[in-house]
Amino acid sequence: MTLILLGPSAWLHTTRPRIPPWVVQILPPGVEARPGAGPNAKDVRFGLVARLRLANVHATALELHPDRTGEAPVDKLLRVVEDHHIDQFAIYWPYGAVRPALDVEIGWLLHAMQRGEIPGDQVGVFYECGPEGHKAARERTTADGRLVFEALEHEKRTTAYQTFVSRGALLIPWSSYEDLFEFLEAFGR
Amino acid sequence: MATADKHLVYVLGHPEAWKLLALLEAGSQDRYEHVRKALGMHPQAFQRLLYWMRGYGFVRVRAARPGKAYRAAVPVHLEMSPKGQAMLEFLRGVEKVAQARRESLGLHHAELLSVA
Repeated sequence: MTLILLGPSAWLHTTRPRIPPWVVQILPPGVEARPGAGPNAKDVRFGLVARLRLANVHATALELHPDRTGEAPVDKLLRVVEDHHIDQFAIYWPYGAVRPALDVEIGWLLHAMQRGEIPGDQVGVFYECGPEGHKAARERTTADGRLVFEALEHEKRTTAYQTFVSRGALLIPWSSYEDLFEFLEAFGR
Repeated sequence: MATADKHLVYVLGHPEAWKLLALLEAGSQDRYEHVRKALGMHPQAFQRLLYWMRGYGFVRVRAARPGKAYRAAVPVHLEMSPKGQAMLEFLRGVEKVAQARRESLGLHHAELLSVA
């Protein structure tokens, strides 16, 4: 069982999330910490992957695998998924991130779910629902008492995330990076 | 950081977690309030219980009708996962042993897996 941690690489210019230092203290081999600047969303994913590996969870991120000459992004994604027997797809959804670079991964994963090649219980949407108002999404009760899920970051390219949910992906809220790490660990085992 | 058995420690230490699993064994639920009232919990305590039980993968929230397209809010429901089912079976074993122990000591039997 191998988990791939998908998600954004950068923060919106209006967002400066407080990332606990331990998250990026250990990085995977070959990844250098960027001096000066605070960790971006990709650094956070790399740090989480490194921690998961230390906890004996097989985990990776797409950007940890070198590009091959002439290889299209979608071909790289397919190669990594097949070569590393990836069967757990964790989507890191923090509040206030830039998402334009996610199109290939998201499009491929949605299509695979639609074709029934990847069941919904192998896809986890880990959305931030923090106590300080940093809520990427929420679950609320409708007037008739039923439960619904909705993105709160409007016009931030999060529609695809709702589509994951409508296709059966699991919803897992987190309110701290400690909890996120534990939940990813549980998901990846 | 998580220890390997932290999820187990959490469930063993929270009787309401046992009851939640027993309740969801009967089927998925699309109304949190029904579940909360059945467990007799304060809303915040119930939210915390769900937070951890979902994070540890014992219960899950997912689309009530997967495959149907929604433009806005997606109807979801609460259900038990296979991991939660395995935990419930383990808890039944624990309860059986504990019940035998209580009876041998002449103690009152507290039914941890029954839901009102």
